[in-house]
Amino acid sequence: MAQLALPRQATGATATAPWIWLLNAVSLVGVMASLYLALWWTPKEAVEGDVFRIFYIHVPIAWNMYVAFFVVFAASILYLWRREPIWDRVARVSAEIGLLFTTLVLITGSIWGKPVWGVYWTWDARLTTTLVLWFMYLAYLLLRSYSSEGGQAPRYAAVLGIVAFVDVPIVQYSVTWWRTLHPQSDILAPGHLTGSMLLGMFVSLVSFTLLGLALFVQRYRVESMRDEARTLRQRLEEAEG
Amino acid sequence: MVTESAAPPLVKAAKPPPALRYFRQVGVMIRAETLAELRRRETPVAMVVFSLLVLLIFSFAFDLRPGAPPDVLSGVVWSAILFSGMLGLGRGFAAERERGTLDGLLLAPVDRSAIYLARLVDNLLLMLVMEVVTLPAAAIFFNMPVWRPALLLAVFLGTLAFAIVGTLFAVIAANSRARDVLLPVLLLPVSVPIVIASVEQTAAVLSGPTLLAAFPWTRLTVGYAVLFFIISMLLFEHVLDE
Repeated sequence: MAQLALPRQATGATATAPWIWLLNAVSLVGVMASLYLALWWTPKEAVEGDVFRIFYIHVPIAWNMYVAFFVVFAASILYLWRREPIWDRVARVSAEIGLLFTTLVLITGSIWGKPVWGVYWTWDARLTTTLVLWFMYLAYLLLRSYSSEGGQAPRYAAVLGIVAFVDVPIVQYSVTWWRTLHPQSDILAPGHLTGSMLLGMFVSLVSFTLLGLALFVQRYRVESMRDEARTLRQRLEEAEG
Repeated sequence: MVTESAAPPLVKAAKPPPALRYFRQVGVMIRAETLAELRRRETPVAMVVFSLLVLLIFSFAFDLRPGAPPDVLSGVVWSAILFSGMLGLGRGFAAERERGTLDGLLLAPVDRSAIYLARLVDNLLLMLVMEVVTLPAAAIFFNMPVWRPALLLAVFLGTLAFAIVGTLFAVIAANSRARDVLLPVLLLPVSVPIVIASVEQTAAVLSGPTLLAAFPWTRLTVGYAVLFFIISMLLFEHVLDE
């Protein structure tokens, strides 16, 4: 069996850097704080009362969903341009996180919808666009899992990542306009934010963004190690065969 | 007796400009692929039969009869067109890989985007051929006034826009394991604006003879087609095997 020179980082790969511990701790504290603010500290909303409180989670998660999708787009472009595996890794991790957040947005939105609209789902512009976005993320991940092991999958996924992101504003426009042409019965808009509610929303926004970042870092490290393992395995097979 | 190499030609044949050469390459590819496929008749026949069956099933699903509301009819016809179109898109590239002609094409000094253009024309023609049968069938089944220029324009634009994105995704899906299932999964979310716009335009024309009321949708379709045509031309080389 040929001697394999292990790359230097292989030995230190499992050690967690201090900044990652800090990020995880801060995001945990932040999420706890925002839950406290959302559920107890902030006042009831004028029209919807306590039902509104889910928005302190719903809005930051929606924001993260868009950020993740943008990261997929940017990383896809960088991958096609540079062909460096790191960008492909960033894209697929971000797509996974994005799908998670999109699912949560749809679920929290439905939970809000039931008492306010009387139904779990309505084909209004926002919900429909988010559902299309969910399908696009899903398509990205399915494309990756159905691709045979090889150099092609990252390229295909990158193309999809670019096309899908460019399409999002068009989908938003067409669905919104379709809804204005065929209006449904009165849909209550989300309530307005006043003073202390703004603080609650801001804390939520920051903590859930940190949470998203922490999740991304965790997932990225796992994927990074997995890629490294695959490379080593390939080298082993080549050396033996 | 004059041999070939006896004297140089008196007039040097002019080399065609690059743009003309490009389109000539596209034309040759189209002639090779499209005519071969249409002559073979497998794919167009399957597409036509499938679209007619979709019309049939939907008539059961919604209890459609002549005089059904134009919105519903428009949706049914477009469902038939889009599902059948995806069938054709999926088969096209798979057949080419099986025949091995794609490798020959890649070895030739052809600009990659020319391959995309040829595939696009090929897919577009297939769908238009299918629609030549589907639209009259829908006219008969549901008493739809199909023979209006505005409606034909709306159908053509929607088909073009769908084929532009579909051709790109068809290549991607063809190279994966679950290619038949993957193409709709990739294509349908991205085509949502086209689906909405086409159904709205067609419904508008069915209600009144002109496209004026639905013109913003026409504008959206054209804009979408232009945008994704440019993007597809740029990205296509990344999608072909090296």
